[in-house]
Amino acid sequence: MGLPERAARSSPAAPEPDESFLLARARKGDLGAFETVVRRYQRRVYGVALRIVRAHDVADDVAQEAFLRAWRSLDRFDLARPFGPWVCRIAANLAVNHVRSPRAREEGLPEGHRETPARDPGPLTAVLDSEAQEVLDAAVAGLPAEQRAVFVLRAVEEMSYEEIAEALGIAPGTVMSRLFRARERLARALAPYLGQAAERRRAGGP
Amino acid sequence: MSAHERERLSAYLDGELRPAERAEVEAHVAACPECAHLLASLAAVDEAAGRLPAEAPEGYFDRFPARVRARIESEARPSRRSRLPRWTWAAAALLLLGIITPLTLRETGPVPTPATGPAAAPPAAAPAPDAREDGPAAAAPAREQRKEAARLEEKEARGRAPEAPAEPELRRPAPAPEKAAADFASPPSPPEPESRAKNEVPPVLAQPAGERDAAVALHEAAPAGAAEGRTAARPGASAARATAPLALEPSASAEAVRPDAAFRRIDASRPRTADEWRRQRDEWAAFARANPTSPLADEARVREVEAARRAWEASGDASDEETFRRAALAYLARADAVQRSRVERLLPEPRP
Repeated sequence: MGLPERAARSSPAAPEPDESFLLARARKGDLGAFETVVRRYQRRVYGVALRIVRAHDVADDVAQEAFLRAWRSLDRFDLARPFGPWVCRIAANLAVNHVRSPRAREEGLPEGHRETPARDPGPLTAVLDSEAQEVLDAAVAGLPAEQRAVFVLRAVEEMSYEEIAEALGIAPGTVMSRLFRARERLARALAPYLGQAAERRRAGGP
Repeated sequence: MSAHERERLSAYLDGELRPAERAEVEAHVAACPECAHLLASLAAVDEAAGRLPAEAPEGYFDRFPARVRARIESEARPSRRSRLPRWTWAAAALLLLGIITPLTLRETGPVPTPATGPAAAPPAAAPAPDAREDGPAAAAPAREQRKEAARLEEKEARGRAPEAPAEPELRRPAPAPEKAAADFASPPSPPEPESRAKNEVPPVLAQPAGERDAAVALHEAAPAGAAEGRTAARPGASAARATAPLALEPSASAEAVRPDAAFRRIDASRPRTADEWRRQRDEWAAFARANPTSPLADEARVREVEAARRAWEASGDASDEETFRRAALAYLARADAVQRSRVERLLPEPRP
């Protein structure tokens, strides 16, 4: 789950025609159609869950539960919306609640969907090597669950602040501050490596 | 550079600033190396985040869709599927045939290799001699076995040993008539621990004294079964719900092993009508009774009261109010109640 997947998700286009078809069939009870949809989004949903809960067994539970809830709520789902972000939101919500407490309390499925605001591409990227990647992973693990969830949804799923707010049941302003705090912490952990990366870029290297 | 300004950098990165603010930040960053560096760091962190590990065990994603499907299937029972507990069929068969035997009906253990899929063979061999002659009784275990096989497959996939008891047709071994046991083509199964009894469909045949165990199993199964209703799992359809007092869900046995799974299942239901709230209320109560020492038991008890309150609010019935008050007071009277305030808040007026 690396760059290629991120690139593919960078523009939230309208759902593919066959996806609406599959979901319509699933809505009528066609489990085979739903299974196809599950196969399509399973890695993404699992990825969101794992990055928040940080344990395979729990992520497995959360991922299953997210699809189950999606199945149960299909009749309320607008087929014109993309399924991916919706089920990821469910997963994120479940994941955070799972980390927060033993009970997976459902705060209510998120309604409505917004287009992610177009990102300013900007030349502000740096590439970290694998050691730095490990440091980042450890730093993410060290974040408080709420910060981690916001960070994962933003940095990995590229959800808007509003979508994140809906998904986690918090105010958009809270999203912004939590996100910033999370990023600052991570950036501090990565500071030594970022210097190297900047150096490499200046030298015209990879 | 203040914290507020730094925070704006984060929002700028996400394109969440209004145009006017964006322009401000851009202008500032162009002139301020410190901010420019910070912005680059934040972007780098995001970039690397995409590569945070999300690895799963080998073959995990190959199996995942089928497991989800199996879970949906085991939760959403189409109405055609018999939701009557097995024992009604067996009891009917007995009445019809007038056979009373002290022998417990013995079922085979679960198929250890879930890869074989629906374990059609063992159930076919398993049913009691009398039940064998009864179509529905023989068919029902086959369906339940299939379901259990699916659940077991799921558990296998999670790396857990499939548990023999997680199989609904399990019967207690009878002390006496081993001769009738010879009639069974079933392979030997390990003796099942007492604790599973309450989740098993009891070997009902209202046995005489010799079968005290069976009667106990029936008795224990009753409270667990009474509340194991199932919420609609089929989208948009009002799925047939078990309303029989002893409507046991086969998955109940698996869930006795994993209370957290049972908990989440109950929690996942979204009651809207008074009836649905009542059902959830009873499920919470049953959960707490079935798992009294679980750390989730207290939460379940509180939720029982909450659901009772909602049922009352939805119906306006005096009987629901009575049930709610009783549940609330029962909780508050408990020595191990740790969430008193939460329950006290639900009571509309000061307690007597």
